[in-house]
Amino acid sequence: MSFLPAGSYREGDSVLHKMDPFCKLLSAFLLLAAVILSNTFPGYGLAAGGLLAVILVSRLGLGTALSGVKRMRFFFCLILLMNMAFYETEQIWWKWWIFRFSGDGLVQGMQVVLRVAMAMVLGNLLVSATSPLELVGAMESLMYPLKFIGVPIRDVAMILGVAIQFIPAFSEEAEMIRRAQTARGARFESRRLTEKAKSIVPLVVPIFLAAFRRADELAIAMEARGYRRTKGKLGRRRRRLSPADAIGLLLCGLLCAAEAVL
Amino acid sequence: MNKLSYVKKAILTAACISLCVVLPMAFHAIPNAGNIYCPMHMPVLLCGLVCGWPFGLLCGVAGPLLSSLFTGMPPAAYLPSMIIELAAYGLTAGLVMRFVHTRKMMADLYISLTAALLAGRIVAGASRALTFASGSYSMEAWITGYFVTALPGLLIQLTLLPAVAFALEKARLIPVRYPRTAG
Amino acid sequence: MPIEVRNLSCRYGEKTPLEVQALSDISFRVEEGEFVGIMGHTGCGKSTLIQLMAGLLAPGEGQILIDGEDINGPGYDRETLRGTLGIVFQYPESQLFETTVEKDVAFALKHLSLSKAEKAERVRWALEAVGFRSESMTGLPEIAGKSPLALSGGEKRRVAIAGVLAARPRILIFDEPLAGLDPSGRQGFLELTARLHRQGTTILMVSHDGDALCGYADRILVLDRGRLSAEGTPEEIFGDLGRTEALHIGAGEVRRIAQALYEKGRLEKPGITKYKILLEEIKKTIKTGKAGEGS
Repeated sequence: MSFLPAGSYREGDSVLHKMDPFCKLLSAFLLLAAVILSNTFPGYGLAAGGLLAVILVSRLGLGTALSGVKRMRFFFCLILLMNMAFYETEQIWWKWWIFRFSGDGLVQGMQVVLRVAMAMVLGNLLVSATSPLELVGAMESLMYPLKFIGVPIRDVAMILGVAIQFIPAFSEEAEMIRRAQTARGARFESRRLTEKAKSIVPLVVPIFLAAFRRADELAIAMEARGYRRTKGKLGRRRRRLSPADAIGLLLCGLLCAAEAVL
Repeated sequence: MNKLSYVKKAILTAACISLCVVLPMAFHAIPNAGNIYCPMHMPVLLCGLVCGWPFGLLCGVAGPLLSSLFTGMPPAAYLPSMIIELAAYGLTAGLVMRFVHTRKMMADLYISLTAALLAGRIVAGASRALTFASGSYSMEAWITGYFVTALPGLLIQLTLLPAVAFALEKARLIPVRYPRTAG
Repeated sequence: MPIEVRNLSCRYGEKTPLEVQALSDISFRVEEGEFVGIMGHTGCGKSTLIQLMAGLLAPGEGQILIDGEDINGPGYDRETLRGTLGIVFQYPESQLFETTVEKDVAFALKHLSLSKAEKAERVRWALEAVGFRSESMTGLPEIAGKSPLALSGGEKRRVAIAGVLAARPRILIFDEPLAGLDPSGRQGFLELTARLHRQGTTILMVSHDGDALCGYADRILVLDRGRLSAEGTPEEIFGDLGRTEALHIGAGEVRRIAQALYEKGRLEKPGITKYKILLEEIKKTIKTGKAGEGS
């Protein structure tokens, strides 16, 4: 059973799914900027409205969009408390030792929570509506400007491609090694810390050996076929912007600009 | 084996990035393993140690990113701080390993790993404090807390990584650092 | 009766679009001291079956009884199973990890309550079983102090097998043990299994190698798309080559040569599967002068 895991990707044929991955990624960044820039109540309303519109267009449902937000509730409470207790303000409700509880702090904390939650929803939408492979491709395109500060982006793209190809084979191999060592009587649990580390040596060492051996073989084959450090241009796919892509980008840009003004 | 060629470093880095995705999955069956062993730290640190800082840095950025995309772990919300932490690991491990030569492989490894783990923790702690509180409360307190909770992880990495590095050296998959003393 | 498999079924990826029925309703028995071969097309469920028998996967339905006890039943002690049954995976050399061969072979003994001397004796026995002789009567073979990672491919394979043998399992399962071995390595391995078999170990061997199984197995199980499609002695499975083909398995070279010679009238005995018998029959034919007609 070797196949590439698909992460949180949900197949679909909504406008969001069909959008060009690169434009989608850019739009997501614009929306993220909008969420971070929002700091007034109309601003929050606008950002939330924008996200809601994306959720509707994606046809993924509120559950997918909000997944993970609930799990963070402890973390959110922590942020609220921290802000409440340490926010520097004149108007203080209650003072004890180094803690200064204030209403302003509560409001400040709620704003932070709201922004983090909105950013999470945005991330969920992006990864649920785009396959991992498409996203990696889009990120490679996004790296293009790094070329000018001397990053060998073509090699980086090659490395990422090879890494993705390795995933199914490595995970199968890792699973076999885990089973084989279990059959030999390995136990991967222990109470003492140093023993804990030692108990997984039978798992970790063979997995690294197998991975490095495979990498070694591939590198030798590539060198034999004459792969050299590349200085050439990254073969960028020229794509035409579809109307949906253009409208999406434009709307996100407008939202971002609106937040900046507000 | 002599020094690693550029292509070999590139492909070993690809393998380490791939392991950032695979190791957490392989550890899934072991209860609580993700919290205790931090399986993603190992390939990044090793990549820095073996292939040098540029590749370590790449591995630290791409490893968690691909893992998040392909397996959903870590969730996107944790991704930025995780990338910063792991990138610092790969970068520092590579830099220190390059400039520290004590003529003993073990000592070099310990020094580089400790430096990398400390640097990564401090950078990550600072970045989190900046993101979530913007200076509204004591940053030192945050960083100290963040660092103390990381101590068990540090001990575990210091036990595991030398074992992996020695095995790779023995299997002639990475070059021997001090050929005369090792032979 | 060491192994009994009853109505075993197993599925992968349950309740997903990728659901695969890996095994369906398999039943068979393996007697004490038997050598059973398992054959079948790639993806027929062989690997799943042996991993289920080793207790590494949980079955969907059905039972696996080892020495009369259900290994997935409540209250069954897995440690007993680890001591009774050893499994050698495909390319077992990939599980080596220790700093010395001795430590790696002794890994399986870690959790057994044995004295140091007993453990050393087990390691020596296991290394000798796979063909590493020691110079002195009591000492370990020279290889014991070396790193298992720096050995040659064939040596690594033998050390890995020794690591499973050291626990002295009464039942041994091999998954494609011949893959990637050179002819002398193959021969060495087959002699090792024959020796273990003679000493009373129950052996199950998954292999594509029809010649090896015909030569050594008492019985062969054939799996086809998750079902047990045939079961019998090598002669029963390979006697009729038309039937062999229908089972989606390939006959070995010995069987095919024997068949070709028989069809041309050069051999009197039909359905020969074993190399030794083929050799004897050919010699007999040469003596009677029948082979003089062709090349």
